[in-house]
Amino acid sequence: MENYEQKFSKELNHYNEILAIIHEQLNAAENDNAKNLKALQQTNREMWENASHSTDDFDRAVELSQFYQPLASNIHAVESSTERMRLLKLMLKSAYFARIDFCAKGQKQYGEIYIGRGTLMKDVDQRIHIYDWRSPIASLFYRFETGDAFYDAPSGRIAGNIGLKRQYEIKKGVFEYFFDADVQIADEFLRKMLSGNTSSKMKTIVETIQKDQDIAIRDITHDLLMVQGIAGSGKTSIALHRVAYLKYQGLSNRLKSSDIIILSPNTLFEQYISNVLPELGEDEVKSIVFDDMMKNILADKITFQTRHNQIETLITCTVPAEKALIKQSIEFKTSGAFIEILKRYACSLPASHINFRDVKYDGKTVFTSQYLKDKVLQMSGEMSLAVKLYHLRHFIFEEIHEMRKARMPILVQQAREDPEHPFDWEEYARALSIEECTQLAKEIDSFTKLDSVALYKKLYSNDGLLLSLSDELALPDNVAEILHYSQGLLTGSILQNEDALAASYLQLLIETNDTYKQIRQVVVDEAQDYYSIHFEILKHLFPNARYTILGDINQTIEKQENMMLYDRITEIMQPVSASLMTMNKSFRCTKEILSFSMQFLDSNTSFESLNRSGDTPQVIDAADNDLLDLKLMEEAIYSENQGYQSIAIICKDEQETEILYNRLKDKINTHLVCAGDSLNTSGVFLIPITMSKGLEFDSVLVYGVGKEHYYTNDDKKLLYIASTRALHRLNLFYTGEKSPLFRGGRI
Amino acid sequence: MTLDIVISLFSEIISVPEDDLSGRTLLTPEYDVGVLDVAKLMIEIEKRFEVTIYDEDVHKFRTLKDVAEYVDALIEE
Repeated sequence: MENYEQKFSKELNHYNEILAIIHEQLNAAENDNAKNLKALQQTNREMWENASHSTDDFDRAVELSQFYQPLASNIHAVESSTERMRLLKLMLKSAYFARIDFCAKGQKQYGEIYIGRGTLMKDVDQRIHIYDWRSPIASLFYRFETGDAFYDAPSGRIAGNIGLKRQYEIKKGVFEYFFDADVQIADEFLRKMLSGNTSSKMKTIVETIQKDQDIAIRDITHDLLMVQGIAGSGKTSIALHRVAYLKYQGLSNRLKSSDIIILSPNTLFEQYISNVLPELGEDEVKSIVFDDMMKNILADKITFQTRHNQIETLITCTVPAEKALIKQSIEFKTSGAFIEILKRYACSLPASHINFRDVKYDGKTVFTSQYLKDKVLQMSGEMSLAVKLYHLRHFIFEEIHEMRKARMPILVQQAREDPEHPFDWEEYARALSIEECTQLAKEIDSFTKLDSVALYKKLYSNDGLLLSLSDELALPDNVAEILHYSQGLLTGSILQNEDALAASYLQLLIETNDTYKQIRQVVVDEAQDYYSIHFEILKHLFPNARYTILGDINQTIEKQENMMLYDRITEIMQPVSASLMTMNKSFRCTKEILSFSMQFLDSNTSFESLNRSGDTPQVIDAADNDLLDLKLMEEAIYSENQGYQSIAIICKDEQETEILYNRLKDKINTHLVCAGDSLNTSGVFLIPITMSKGLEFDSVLVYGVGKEHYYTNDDKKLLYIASTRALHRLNLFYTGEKSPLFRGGRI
Repeated sequence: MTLDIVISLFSEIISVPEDDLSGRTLLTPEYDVGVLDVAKLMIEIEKRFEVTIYDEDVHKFRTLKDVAEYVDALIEE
């Protein structure tokens, strides 16, 4: 038997051979790149020298077009050699992280399969020296221990035996150590990886992907894949590694960056995840927040409350009755019943709610309003209402254009007889025609160009219109109160976020929006924060996409959710095939932090921790604010001295965060993290809970957990979110009376 | 280019040197452009490009660039 030193020496030799190959290929790629760049510059120069620089006539355009093909192929060559160089440079730092020895059934020898972030193949012998972690064979590493195993290759399932499973620590190009992994050692390795400090940017998890995570990452069977995972279970990591997988997997159906979109809860989160795909050797993928999509749907001039402000309004509202009404209004307008009302309204628009008018020209009635309405009602149901009305407008003006031939001589005659225009009668006649046609166009536009916001407001202003569309729908008991409250708000110039959502949806029902037609994969993170209407909008905006939807029903803000959420999503998205995976193991928090946080959830919520130990979280009281600040600062400084790099003081809302920041800023080195900022989570900083969603910090200090701040069931969820941001250390602070939401307390 | 021709035609109509006009030049009364000037421009464009400008579209033109783009679209049709 070889001992560790002998094995180490063999592995080191192998590693050095691999490094030599990477260096060789990197040199070749750099040479290629230089050549390609030169060729590109040459083509560019030839184009400038040999062709004219403007394309206002056809011959010159033809002349220029001869350069297009070489230009495009040169650009492609430069891009692909640059990409290859990027991957090889990544591999120089960390060539591979695992090896499995696999013997397929029918074969006699075990093959050594090294797994890394990309493929390394030698052209000479066509041998693969490193397999991409996304390759089918690499799934063996994530899914099986030593012993019998199988993987699904394009040609079918391949069964065999894993004789060895080995993991490597190669950091910044230095081969540090390796170990042969059974389950226990692998867990130990994972614990070691997770015991490090976090950073401002999320990292990749290729070395530590777990079996169920791997199943989610590689799933291509379902067009709707949903993951319910507790805080710290790696949902976002799964989403991003899945994106990298989808960009790798398949030949004809491989996705490009432009085919994928990630829906982020806020812009801080967008920044937090922005490094993962480049670290995996892939381009970044476009990420977007829901409000931006609404801006795209609604007309430019419409202003609406941001989702962030909507949540802040709810969190900071201290009048229970007012808060209840705001929530009921939001819940109603985003519900399935309201969606149905909007659908019925959109269907009934041409028959009942568009104010068709008689079209008159040259003193005659050209079309009656009834004729125009009937014409629209008879048009094919395939077309959207906007397209039907576009056709109607076109139809009307075709007739007007014919009639104008007879109308112009009359106007010319009138102009010639006008003593004020003895010399410019021709342009005067034309001006008269322009004026009357402008008036006519405005009248026709009033019923052929629909304003979805105005139509949405009409739902409330017309007595009983909304209710008349709600037959057999379950409405809230206080629907009249909600409608009255909404009427008041809708007179203002800024739409509430929920009204903007409803108006956006109505707009999509009226007119197809093709902006995101090319998107084939949509990743929705923090799905629990969205309502039914959000998913309806997604379905309309991304008609050709498959979906990966990740959420945690326990991390809601100002709403309560249960597993029915995923049923509702499935019902709305109507996938060919859907799958829901549940992940109950948290990798982020120590077991002490996790079990402390579970007191805020229903007692039957199942969870599992990785058995990583740390200090027990404390709930610390102080007699007054000064003492509280002192204790907060002591804890922040203690955390710093422990070597923690990211120390978050989390407050309930934005206003409170700012007040506390102003109290502390002159006493300790700290900064404020706010909406719209660039993300900086190093050192000691203050952040509101809503902004901290999805992020993680080494040490967390939750500020103000007294009963005046946290007393409702929704507040419980906020405490859960705040507490589960912590990796290593968690402490909570209050003055006065402790919140009744802590274990043993009574609401 | 269409825009250059539109500018040249308009320059003659309002007696302003071409160099003082651009695609951004506004066709609104605030800039002393009258309805007759606009009407005359439409007539001249129709003659020069052999197209028909529909009078119901004229109110949408804010700038000379808008006019040029409209004419380009007509030519393409």
